Amino acid sequence: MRKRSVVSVCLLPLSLVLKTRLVLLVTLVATLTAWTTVFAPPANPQSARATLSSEQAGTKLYTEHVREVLDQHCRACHNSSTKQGGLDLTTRQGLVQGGTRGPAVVPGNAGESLLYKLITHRQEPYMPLQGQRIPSETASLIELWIDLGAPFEAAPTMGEATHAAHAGMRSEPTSQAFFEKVRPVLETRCLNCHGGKLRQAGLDISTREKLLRGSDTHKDVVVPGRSGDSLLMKKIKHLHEPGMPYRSQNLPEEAIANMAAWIDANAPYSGALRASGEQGTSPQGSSHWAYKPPRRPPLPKIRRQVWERNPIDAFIAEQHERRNLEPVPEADKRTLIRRVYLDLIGFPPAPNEIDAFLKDNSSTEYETVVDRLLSSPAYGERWGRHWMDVWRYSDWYGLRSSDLVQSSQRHLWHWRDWIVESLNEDKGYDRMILEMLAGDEIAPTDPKTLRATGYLARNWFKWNRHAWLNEAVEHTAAGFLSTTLKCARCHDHKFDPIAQEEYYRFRAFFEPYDVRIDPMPGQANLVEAGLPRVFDSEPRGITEAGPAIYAETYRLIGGDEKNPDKERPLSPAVPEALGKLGEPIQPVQLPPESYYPFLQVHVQRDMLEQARREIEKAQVELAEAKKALALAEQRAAVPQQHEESLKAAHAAFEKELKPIFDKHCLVCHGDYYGRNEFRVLSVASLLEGGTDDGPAVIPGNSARSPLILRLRGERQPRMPGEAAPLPKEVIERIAQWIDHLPPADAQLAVRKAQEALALAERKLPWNRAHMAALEARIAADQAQFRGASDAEMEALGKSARAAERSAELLKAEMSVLDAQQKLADALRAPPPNQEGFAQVREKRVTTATAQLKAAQEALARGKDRHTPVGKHYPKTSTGRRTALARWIVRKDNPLTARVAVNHLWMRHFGEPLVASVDDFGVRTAPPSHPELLDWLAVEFMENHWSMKHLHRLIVTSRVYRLGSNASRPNHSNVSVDPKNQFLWRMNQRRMEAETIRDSVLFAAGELDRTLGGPELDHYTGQTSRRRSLYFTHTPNENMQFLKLFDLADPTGCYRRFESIQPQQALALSNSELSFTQSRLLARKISETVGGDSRAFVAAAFERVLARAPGADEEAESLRFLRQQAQLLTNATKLTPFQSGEPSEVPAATEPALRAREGLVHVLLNRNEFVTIR
Amino acid sequence: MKEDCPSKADCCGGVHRRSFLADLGMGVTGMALGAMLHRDGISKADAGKVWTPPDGRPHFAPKAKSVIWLFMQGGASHMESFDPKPALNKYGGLTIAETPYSHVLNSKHSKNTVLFTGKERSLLTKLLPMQVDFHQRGQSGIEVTNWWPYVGECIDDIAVIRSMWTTDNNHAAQTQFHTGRHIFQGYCPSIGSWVHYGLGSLNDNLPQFIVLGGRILPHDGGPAGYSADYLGPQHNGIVIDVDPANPLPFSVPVAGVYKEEQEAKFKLLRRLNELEAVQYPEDPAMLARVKSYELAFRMQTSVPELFKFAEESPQTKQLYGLDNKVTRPFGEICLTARRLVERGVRFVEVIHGYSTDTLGWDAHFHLKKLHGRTCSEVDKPIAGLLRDLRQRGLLDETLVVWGTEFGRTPGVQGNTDGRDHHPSAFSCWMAGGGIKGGVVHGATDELGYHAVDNRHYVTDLHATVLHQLGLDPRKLDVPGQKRIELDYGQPIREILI
Repeated sequence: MRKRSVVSVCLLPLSLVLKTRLVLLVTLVATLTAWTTVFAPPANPQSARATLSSEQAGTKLYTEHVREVLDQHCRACHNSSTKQGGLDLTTRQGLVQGGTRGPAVVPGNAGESLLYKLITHRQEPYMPLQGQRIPSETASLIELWIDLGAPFEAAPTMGEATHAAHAGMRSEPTSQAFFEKVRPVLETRCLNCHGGKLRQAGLDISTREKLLRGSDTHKDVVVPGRSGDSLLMKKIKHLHEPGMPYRSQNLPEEAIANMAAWIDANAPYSGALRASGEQGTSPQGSSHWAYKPPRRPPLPKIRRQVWERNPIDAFIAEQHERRNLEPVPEADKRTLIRRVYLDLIGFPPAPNEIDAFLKDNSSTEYETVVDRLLSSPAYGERWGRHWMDVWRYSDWYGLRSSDLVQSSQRHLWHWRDWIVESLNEDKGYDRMILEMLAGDEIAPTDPKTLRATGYLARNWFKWNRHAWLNEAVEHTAAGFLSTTLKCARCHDHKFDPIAQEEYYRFRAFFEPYDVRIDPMPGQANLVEAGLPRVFDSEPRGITEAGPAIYAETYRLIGGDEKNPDKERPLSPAVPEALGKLGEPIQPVQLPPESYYPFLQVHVQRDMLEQARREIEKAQVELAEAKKALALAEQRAAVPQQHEESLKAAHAAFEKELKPIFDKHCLVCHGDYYGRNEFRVLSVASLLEGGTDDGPAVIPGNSARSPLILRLRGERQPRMPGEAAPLPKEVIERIAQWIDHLPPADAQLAVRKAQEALALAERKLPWNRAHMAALEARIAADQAQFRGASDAEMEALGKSARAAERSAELLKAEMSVLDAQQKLADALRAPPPNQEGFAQVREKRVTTATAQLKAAQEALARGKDRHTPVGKHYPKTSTGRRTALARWIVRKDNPLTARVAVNHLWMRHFGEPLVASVDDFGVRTAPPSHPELLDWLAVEFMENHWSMKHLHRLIVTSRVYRLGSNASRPNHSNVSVDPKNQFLWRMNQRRMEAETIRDSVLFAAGELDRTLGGPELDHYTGQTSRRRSLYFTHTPNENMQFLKLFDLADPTGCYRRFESIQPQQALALSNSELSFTQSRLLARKISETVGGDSRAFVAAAFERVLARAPGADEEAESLRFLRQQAQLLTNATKLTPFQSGEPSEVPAATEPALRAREGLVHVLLNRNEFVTIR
Repeated sequence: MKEDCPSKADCCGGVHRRSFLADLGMGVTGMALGAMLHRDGISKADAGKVWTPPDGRPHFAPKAKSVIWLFMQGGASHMESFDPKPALNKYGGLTIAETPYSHVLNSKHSKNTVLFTGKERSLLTKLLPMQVDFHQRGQSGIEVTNWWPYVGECIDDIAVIRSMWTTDNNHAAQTQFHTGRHIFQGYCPSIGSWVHYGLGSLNDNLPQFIVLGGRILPHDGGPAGYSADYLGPQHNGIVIDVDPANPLPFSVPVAGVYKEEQEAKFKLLRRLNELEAVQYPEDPAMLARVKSYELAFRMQTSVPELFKFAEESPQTKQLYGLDNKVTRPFGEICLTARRLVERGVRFVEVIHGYSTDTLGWDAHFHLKKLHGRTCSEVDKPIAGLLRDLRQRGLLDETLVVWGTEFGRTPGVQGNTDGRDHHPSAFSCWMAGGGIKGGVVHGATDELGYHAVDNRHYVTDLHATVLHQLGLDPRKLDVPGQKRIELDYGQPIREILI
């Protein structure tokens, strides 16, 4: 503080009078005295008091202060050898002559001097370039020095290098030599990670100035003149972890000694460091195959041309021939048709379809099947599920029991349906990417396209914006580009040529994006229905609605969100190694329907419709309230009867209901800590209810009791929150009990009924007023957008305001009454151990009273505008995501098409062409068939990115049709290529989880082919017949049956596991699904074949395994049917399993049929059933 | 397919058939399914060329065979358990700045915390006195609070680590405690999965990594706390309910199925699969699947047998507190844990979770009442487990770990009588399996605010477990799965015998 005040006191008056040389001398002495006391003890106290000429003063200023400033901040770039901008600041002549932009200094006139203007940021480029701004005190000294004529030390001799030629070398004539000794070490051992683009730990050593700035966490990397204090020395001596050079041998002793000597000589530089050789910052980067755009290679010439069904085969055969691999013959037709069905649509062929295929010998019979399958809507479901893996589909998750959306969004199924539909209509993959990343910018008013942005809405995370954006960045890079940006979140990528800063530049594309739910036609309630979509938002702080949206993107030093590098806001850019954005980013002007969605006709209609329904509801409630009052009065007249039924209800609660609640509900609604204050301990606490719903139970009315509504899932969140719904019969028992439950106190019940009536009487007028207000507000809002006259707008606005005010008033009055009643209730009988309760209600009264007051005041004020019907959003979108998407789908983007082709290939063959499907970085193994990959990538792009085109090519190739049996291999094949990397046969695979379940249902003829719609409760998966992709799928909630078969992890699954575990055996052998479906199938077959066991066995094999039984199999099956029927005839002697849930379809009572059910059940459990051969 | 078979001799060759049947008949003695699958080379779809997965043998002589990992869900207060802080009583009611220890607020260790919600939790600087007294216990005289009377009696078998720290200040720290990673950095294999992955089985009728008790709630990472992530789902922890009727998913068929009926079906299934195997003798997935059905079938018996507590003596039952309503639930879980390690299960993760009467250990308010209750639920069963293991000679080969996701603030939370989450310091302890008894390792500052001496991140606990089991975490590495230095941790050698 002292330093600052003294300097400003001295310099301020000085600068005012600088032009008057006369005054200068007078003040200078005082000034110099002040400096010396401030900055350093004077070497010679007397000299400071001596009278100085202005030149002497300037020289002193130079030697004591300015020289160091120039050394530290300027001369690294502006010395006699580097001469950045033609400027050499090591001599006075250089200073005065200046560089390409003219003189750096006009002696005697700081204000006109370029140097002064640049360091004080009055003119660009700001100096020091990319460095810390020079403190204003220091700049003032330089100003003064220039005004004093900018003298150098002693009497400067023109042009002669009496001064050090380079920064930091002024006293060491041999320091150049010092630097030349360490330069090779710095350039070959350090610069790759700490220079130019890659700045590991934020450290850049390419120039002296940058070196002295230090790293993100250590400013003392090099302390000039003090090697002992320099972190660099500790690092290379391995005294500080991690030792340097990173993960390689220590430097030789001599090199370490040289480094110390160099630092002690003030660490001079002579020019910036240069990485050795021609390469850029990352030696591997530019030559890596995946960073070069794919070109269509010529088809290889192969010897056996007959083998080639299409170009794919040429590339495959080339490898076969090169490696002396003899491909196995094509699979038989039965195997092939089952394979291609499961592959393209996700369930096996029906017997009649197999028959037709076997009988058709038209030579194009297979192609016909393929075309039919590709045009089946089931194709979109099957492959939609694959892409849902890659794009991380997840329904919302968080705390279902509290209805707390933590991640993803409600109604995200719209995006799933968009995926399925897009695939079915064969939308180009390029268009799909564009719509997913920027649907809101390219089609802002088309809800069908907006669904696609569910891709980004899925990343939403309630608590932390950084975590949310990290997902968007990392999975966009991994999913579309197979690039692991993730590593660069905290530091420069260790292997791939991606700098940490580039991670954040990529993030900048997403920085403004936010998520909202738009209303859908016919649904005004956004919790029940709506379209989750993204938009570019205004920046905001952390709110109830969600985390902050930041205005700027900064590099987070070390990935630490508490430590942003705020000096340098980053603009959007793609990693340099992957290409350039191409077109500039263009902001998008949005139409009013987009930034003000409530302007849409359907939204207004639905709101009015809802308001109308509310009026109807209020009318019904009023009628009911009147009836209830009559009933209560009637009951109160016969107290005896009431007493008895009350006693019975209490007894029934203790005996029957309490055990149910204890088991399923007590964890959340127990005595100590009832969630939402709602407890299930006693009849009284049920009647008391909680803060969300009020009473949990309405005596005599189970249909309206919140408890029952939630147990049945008719009100969300369903109860129990994170567990399976209670069995229906249990819920019905509770409902029955409620229907027989009389009110606790008959007299009190009368009073309550009176109160309810009073409330209902007020509710109806409010609902009517609300409707009127809504109509008026809509009219006023519309006027703004249809260009109504000012007068008209004002009139409409006024009446909207008036209508709104009277509705508000009615509502407030109603709220007060409601709150007063509840307060009275609470005070009437404070239940034990619920001290918080009366307060909750008091608070409601206070709130309601405040609302009433506010409404009355507003009415009195009468000048405010009406409240717009819905929310306004920004009128423009930044266009950043559109730019990103367009870059991703550019034909010269080296990765996009290759990555997609690789994903497709893997899902057809079980193995990808590039082993690491989500990482095409420099450390990955090269593709097994690089030319094929590129050929397919180009073919894909040139055919409008049509996936169906690729599917057709792949599945009609020869290699796809090969047999898969490794049991009779050509032995040389096994020794040459044991893992079948070069596809001399087809790979055998297990079905994915969804395919297993769907195929069980299909085999039984039970699969429900309904397409799309809201996600289904995963707990119904054992009984529902819908396809598996439609069930709730989140990291927390998913169908257990599917989960056991390696369901996709919704937080990231580029490739599925294929595990084999005993729990899978238990699931297939013990589940409701497999029992019910095998029973149904056995009965269906029996209806056709009657008593013919052989025909039954044949049909069962056909339906389940898509083939006829072998002779051994038939014999075994028939024996089983006989023996099992016999065993079951004496069922009384058998031991049933002790527990087990009742099944939808109980076992047949007739032993022979039950034996048949058993046979089908066994077939569903066969290895062959879950295997795709 | 059958009709595809060119000649009988070719596909039904005696050698193939015999070797297949021998393989089936041999059973799976001494090998976990995971190890079996590895042996068959099929457990990982992308197994590299040179790299081979662990063969089920330890890398060096192990000190322990099994682990019982007791996890107190919600964040047990270190000050009110194994790290008493008399200074809190002295300065209770004052802010930290008003005590001589104001420097703890500016400690460099504070930097480690990662904000879950994007904003700082308010610093709770007004100190809450200890809510319970403490005494020196055992020969070693280690200070333990009075909420742990029974565990206190066993303190001479225990090494207390008072200097744990973690980085998540919310309950996803539960996942972090098991995987070593903050949830924002993604999921990793859990410690139980590493053990399962690294070591073979000692019993072929049971899974080798079993989870008992509570569950990690969805928003805290859910099953990630006992999942294998990239090691493959066959190394996931199997969650078993202490409920003989339905201990694990699909453990019994739907109602009305007869055992004999089911057995006959399994017999036919096996026969049909054998016929398929004749045709595809070199299909490893098939062999593994046949075996998985056999293990599944055996599990239908072996798992319910775990809960035959009637076999236990009255003394044993009493030891675990089965005779008392408060201690019985956790007592049964601890007893099951012992029965599991007795049967050779490698890793038993026991979660003492949220219960009907408490918030688990998450005492944001009423700490005295809540912790008083949770301690009384677990104290006797845990001590009973230690004594029972010792009297059966199992303690030497069983490593018992007691831990929690984070500690609690020395300061009071708002206007309550509770403490907030506190990742900067917490206590864990270990016993048995080659661990020194009656020692205290590491320390927090006077207020219990930061771990200051011998600080240990959670992976040091993992490293210690692996070390005692004879495993070197670096040798377990999977190609393509990069781990950072911190992930490996360092064994806490000071507490090893």
